[in-house]
Amino acid sequence: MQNKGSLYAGICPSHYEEITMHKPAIRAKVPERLYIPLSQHIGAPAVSCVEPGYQVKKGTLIGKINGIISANVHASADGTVEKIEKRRTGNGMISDTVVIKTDPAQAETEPVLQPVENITREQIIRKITDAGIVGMGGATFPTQVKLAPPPGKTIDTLIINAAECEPYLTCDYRLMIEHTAEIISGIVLLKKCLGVNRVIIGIEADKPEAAKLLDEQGKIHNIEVFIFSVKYPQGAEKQLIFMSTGRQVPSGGLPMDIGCVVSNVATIYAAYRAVYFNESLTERYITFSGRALKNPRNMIVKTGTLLGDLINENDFSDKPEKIISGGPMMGFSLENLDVPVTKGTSGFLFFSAQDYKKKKEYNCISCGACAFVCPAGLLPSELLRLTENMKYLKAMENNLLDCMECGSCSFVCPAGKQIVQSIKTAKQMARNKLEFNVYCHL
Amino acid sequence: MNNQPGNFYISPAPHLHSGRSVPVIMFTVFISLLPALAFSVYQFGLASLYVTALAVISCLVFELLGNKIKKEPISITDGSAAVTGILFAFSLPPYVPAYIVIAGSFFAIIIVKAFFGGLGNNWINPAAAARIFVMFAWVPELTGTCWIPACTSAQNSFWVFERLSRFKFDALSFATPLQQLARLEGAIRTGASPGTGIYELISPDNLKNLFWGIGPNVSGCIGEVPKLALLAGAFFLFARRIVFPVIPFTYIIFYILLNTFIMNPFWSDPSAWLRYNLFHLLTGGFIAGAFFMATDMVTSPITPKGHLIFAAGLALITFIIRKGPGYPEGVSFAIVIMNAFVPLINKFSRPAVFGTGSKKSGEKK
Ligand code: SF4
Ligand code: SF4
Repeated sequence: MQNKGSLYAGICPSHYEEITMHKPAIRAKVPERLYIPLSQHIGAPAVSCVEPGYQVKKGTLIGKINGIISANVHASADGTVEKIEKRRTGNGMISDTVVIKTDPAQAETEPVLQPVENITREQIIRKITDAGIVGMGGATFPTQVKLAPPPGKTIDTLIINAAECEPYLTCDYRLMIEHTAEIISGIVLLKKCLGVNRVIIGIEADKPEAAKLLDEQGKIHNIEVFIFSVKYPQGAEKQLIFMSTGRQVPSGGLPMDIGCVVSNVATIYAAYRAVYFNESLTERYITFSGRALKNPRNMIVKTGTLLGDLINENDFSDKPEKIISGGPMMGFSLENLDVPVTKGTSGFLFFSAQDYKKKKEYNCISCGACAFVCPAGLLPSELLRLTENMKYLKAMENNLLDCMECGSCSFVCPAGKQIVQSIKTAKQMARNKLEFNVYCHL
Repeated sequence: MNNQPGNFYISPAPHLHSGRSVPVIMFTVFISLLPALAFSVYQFGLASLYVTALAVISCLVFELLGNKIKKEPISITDGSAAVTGILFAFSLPPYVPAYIVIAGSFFAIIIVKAFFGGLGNNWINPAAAARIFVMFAWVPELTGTCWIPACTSAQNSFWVFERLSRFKFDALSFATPLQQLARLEGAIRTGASPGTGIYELISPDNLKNLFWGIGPNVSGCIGEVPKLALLAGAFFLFARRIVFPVIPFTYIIFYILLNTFIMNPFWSDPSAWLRYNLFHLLTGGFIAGAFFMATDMVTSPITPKGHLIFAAGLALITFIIRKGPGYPEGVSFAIVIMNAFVPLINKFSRPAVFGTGSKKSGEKK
């Protein structure tokens, strides 16, 4: 275990992790209906391979991988496909969704341990692809793509992201405590698959028990555990690599360009299940937290379960005013509870009126706080001004695309500007090559 | 559970906020200036309080007026007008005619701020600009040597604040210490013997008086006399992380360097050299300017690197003005001039973007 200080920039929000940290996760019931989106990952949506009326079992493939950057989607319980419809997911996207009416009696099958002693690299990647594993820290990038770098790129370091830097969220922490041995086996698998010698686990200092467990069990495999003082956004991929190895992912590049692969602990655990038990990714740990909740907790939830099936009036101690899917810094606020759990859902937060204030907006006072905290080294206030004036291409020149949307700038802005939101809009506009600036002034 | 849309409050990420807002910042700055005000009342009597209150109130009224004229939401609650008012008052002598205070406030709030688009869009510091404006518009009333006539002639007028004093008026009939120093230095430069005057001026006793703001040779403006209280306020701001200490300290260090290497009358006498520099820092609006006006967020650069350049420029301009024969002050001029360079400085002091190859990028900016 080594202490590695903290990130050069970023913020220190209050963390609220104590609320759920020490409670063992509970398994959620299988709901009456599952709504499984075919697009739960970055890249092309999976192609449906079921029709209404099909009988499915837990783990049956219902969406087939479509192209290189894509992932399989599986049924998460036994049941019958009712229909395929378009629905909104937690992050506001519309996706084709397979609706499954679940059987009242679910088959209880014991997972069978597969022989893994002589497994080859290709077999591991095959199994991970089949299981539809994606990055579960939130980015939902298909894992098999990371594990098979194109020729010419050599990977020498595997970094395990256990930082979990978003406030409130403790799902990764619970996983690390409850399944330490499995995570270590998963790391060893990935290490073998990538052929790297160096493995670093990056974890924040507010999770000492998890760090201790990982360190104890990882020592024999030469796994290094780096502890960082709490700071957001330390769990951001590029920042974690920089903190662990001192290398910088070039602007516009990928971690593999500098010989690193980063993987989240939940992903590692899913990979372990896939390789050791041929299990596909159909459930995950999710944090339920926030002041409006009577009993904040972590739950193990099947993908496709609607939030409304997981929570009801009795769970609230206060009227929830705002509901967030994901962490409070990068998550999306939800209109209603009609949102399915996906592979990338890390938590649901229920804020009461006390927790958020409608911010009053002032003019930017050039305080520089946003530039001071920006981990990407940008000038958010300038990007904001350019966006407000619709000079999107100029914003591109000023490294707009290097913004990772961490939200630190909006968090500190005393003028209450929604800087990240403007940046996201600007990115959209710039991508569409819409030089508003030009035809507004013609 | 009611699943109708629109049940819950929707807003873009992030859903947390540090809680520090513009009014909080302005209020903190205001608070940090209060010890200096208290000290000043102790020094000069209630006149300081009157001037300050008048400046703050007229700034607020003009802000309101500006809002009304421009038909925009009322912005006096953001606190910036009050801060401008108190800073402007601090740069006035305590027995200034009321119309000067009001005119200065008008200039600061309406001309410098409202005309340019309100808080955040003004590119020069309103308080510093107003100070310069009144200084030139009312030379006799505001220049040190003429204080007494200005006061006595209108002693009973409503427009002049009576000084409820502990010192007699004529205690202030000297030229300001900086003017005296400039005169003596000028004498040295023309080859005349400096005599002992200059040593007297920078004697430890005199410096002590300047620091504490007590004694016969101390004169100056409301907020420029109580150095200790000003410094206490400044350190309060550093501690609350409202202001980065980069600007004031770079300013001071650069100023001392310039003072040492260019036209230094005390090459051979290190102790006199030290006292000479302290004298420069303790007189005029240096402390108030460096710690409160130059650090104004709106009109200073964004990044610490920019702060460094900005402060170096301030030191250079202050130095040139103070050494020149015409005018012994210079802090507020330097601030206003450097304010104009801020966009340029911002352009050349961008932080290194993470991952753009520069070795240093990504380290603490
Ligand atoms: S500009 Fe982007 S990267 Fe920088 S702090 Fe804001 S959201 Fe984070
Ligand atoms: S934090 Fe807000 S007010 Fe401060 S410079 Fe950035 S955008 Fe402007």
